[in-house]
Amino acid sequence: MDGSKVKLEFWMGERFGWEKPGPIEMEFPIEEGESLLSLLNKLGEQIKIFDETIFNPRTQSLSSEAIIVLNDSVKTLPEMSEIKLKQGDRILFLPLLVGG
Amino acid sequence: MEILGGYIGKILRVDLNLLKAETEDLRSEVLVQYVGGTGLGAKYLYDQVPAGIEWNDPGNSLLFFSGPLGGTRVSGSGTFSAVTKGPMTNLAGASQANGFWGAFIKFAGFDGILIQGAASKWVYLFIHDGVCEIHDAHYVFGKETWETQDLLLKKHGLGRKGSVYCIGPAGENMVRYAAIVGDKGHIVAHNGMGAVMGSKQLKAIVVARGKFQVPVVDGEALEKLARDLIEDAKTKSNKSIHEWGTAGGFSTAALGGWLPVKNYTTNIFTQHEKFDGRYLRAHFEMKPNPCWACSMHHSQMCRVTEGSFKGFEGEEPEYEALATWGPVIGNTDPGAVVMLNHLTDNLGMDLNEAGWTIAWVMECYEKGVLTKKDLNGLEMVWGNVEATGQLLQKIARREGIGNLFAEGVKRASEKIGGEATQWAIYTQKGASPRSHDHRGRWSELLDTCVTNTSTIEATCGGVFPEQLGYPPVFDKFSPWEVPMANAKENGWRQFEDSLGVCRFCIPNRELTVKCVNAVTGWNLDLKEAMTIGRRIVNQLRVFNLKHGLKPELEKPSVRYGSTPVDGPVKDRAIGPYFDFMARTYYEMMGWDRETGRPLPDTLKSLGLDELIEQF
Repeated sequence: MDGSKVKLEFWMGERFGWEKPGPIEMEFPIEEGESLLSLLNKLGEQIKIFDETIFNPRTQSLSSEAIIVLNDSVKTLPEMSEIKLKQGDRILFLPLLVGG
Repeated sequence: MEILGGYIGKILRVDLNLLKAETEDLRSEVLVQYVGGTGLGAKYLYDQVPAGIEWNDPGNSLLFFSGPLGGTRVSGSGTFSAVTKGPMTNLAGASQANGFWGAFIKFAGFDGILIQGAASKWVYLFIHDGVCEIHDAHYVFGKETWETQDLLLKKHGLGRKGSVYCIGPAGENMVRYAAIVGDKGHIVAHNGMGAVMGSKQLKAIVVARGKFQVPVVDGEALEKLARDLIEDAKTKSNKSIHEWGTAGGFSTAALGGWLPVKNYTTNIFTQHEKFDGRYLRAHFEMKPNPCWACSMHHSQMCRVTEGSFKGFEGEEPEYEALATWGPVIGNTDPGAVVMLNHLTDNLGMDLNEAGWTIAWVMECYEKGVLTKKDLNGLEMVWGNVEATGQLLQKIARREGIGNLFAEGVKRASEKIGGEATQWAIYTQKGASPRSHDHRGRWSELLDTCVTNTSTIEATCGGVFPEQLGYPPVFDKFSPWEVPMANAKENGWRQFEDSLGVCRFCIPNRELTVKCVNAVTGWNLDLKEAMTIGRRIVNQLRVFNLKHGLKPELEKPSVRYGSTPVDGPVKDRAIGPYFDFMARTYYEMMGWDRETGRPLPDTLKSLGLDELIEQF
């Protein structure tokens, strides 16, 4: 649709080789009725190293090191195909281990 | 078989009954099976401490081991493992500490120390140039840990050429969760090893850096491998720790639902950004305080620059200290954490257990179960850091109500009884979870309950089966997947803790094994390293079974296994599945599904045939 976007927050930028460890924020367009799983597939294809560090579209697998939080609620991979995104949703990509 | 590299080849056996120290040769066949650190500790503990010996019996052993990488050019190689039968669980405990001691003990002529017996008066050990002297400790008795370190280093004229690990008032008074503290900011924290040291009337172990050298079989290869290993840690795998310390994980813990808040009564802590390493390292004044041969910016000293404790100086709090003395007790001032962390270290106790105990006291106070009168006049409202400091002092010296809380939250809550027992966070074995809300980290909750080390055994934040060539965990809240992944992963962390090197410096497993080979001349691969790790796990398990471990002890307390009522993991309920998860884990480990006892074939496959008939 019509310019809907979600807000992405990457807290594991160092895994991508980005300059500083997160959080790095960006907006990303979504289609009407798009699922969270569909978004991950797109990100896996478009963002370098996303497939190795967070979600691999070829194997449909989420890295053991990654946690995904949608609007302050942790989501697991089996739940993601049923979750429909909407304008303004906030999605966090967190590393499970960064010390402590 | 000849020992080629990685070891001095000697251990020190100290008998405190007789005030005598002797040197023994290390046997190479034991080294290839157990490597060092936790592995050698597990082997010697099993051989030396029979069933029936309690934690405070002079017959208990307190064991300290470096490993083959200790004192080499591998970064963070000042680490060592301590192993004993500890008072929190009255079962085995294995705990690691960093700093310099692990390297210096090798430079002083030993791969490790076995301490048995109990002195009739307070003593300390002074180890140098291949010998051990036993000295009267009246000079430092009653002193806090940092002052003890300063006094002993000064007395022996060591300065930066010495390393001291010691106990504080908590260890002297055998607080069940007393720690062994050294190198200003490093702690042997778990299972009350400071209380074991106190029971032996051993105040400190001073090591003078000597001139012994660690032999390395292939120095050229090691130089490159060590460089690649630390480069990977600093720029990729553990870049966050390098940049922000372990506190760099504070906000992600809050956002991901594993930050513990007010004794698990909530899962929301909106002030997390001021506790995160990003904020602290930008706002507080920091000064590097690195461990032996380490270029990671993990350990620092800090000076508080804002809030009520502006100007206070102490060690930079790790994540666990920030969580414990922040949200766990309802405190929102990170400067106060620096003060309480420094106090806990100086009194010499494990802050995880101290924090769970005080948070439980605060909940009891809020609900009227404990009154100001019960608490010797202390107003234990959420976030009262002054009262927390006063209560820590009472606990360390077992004064007044502090005597009860010195037993830890499990035993204290059982003594108070009633509904208050439902609010305490512990494992049924009696050990403390690390300072997370594990209801948002199921792998670590399960591991903390079924571990043989008294703290995490298979996990480190989570499990990462991809690193062993297995598929990732698809659902981190799956009662099927979590125990299976934990069991697949178990072994690596115990191998790692046997090397004499800091975990933060060796995240790349392939490179780590290659470093071990370059140093020792062995030809291990990742699978063989895992086998060694699993041998250590099973050795500790059989020890624990002989010493009274039963499946009913491998469960969370009511509150620890409860369901979060709010926050990012609201309604994720582990409780209904926990028994199934534990049994699935036993089965995947090659243990009896109901009893958790290693099956004969499992022990045979690990070369532990001689244990089959022993438990």
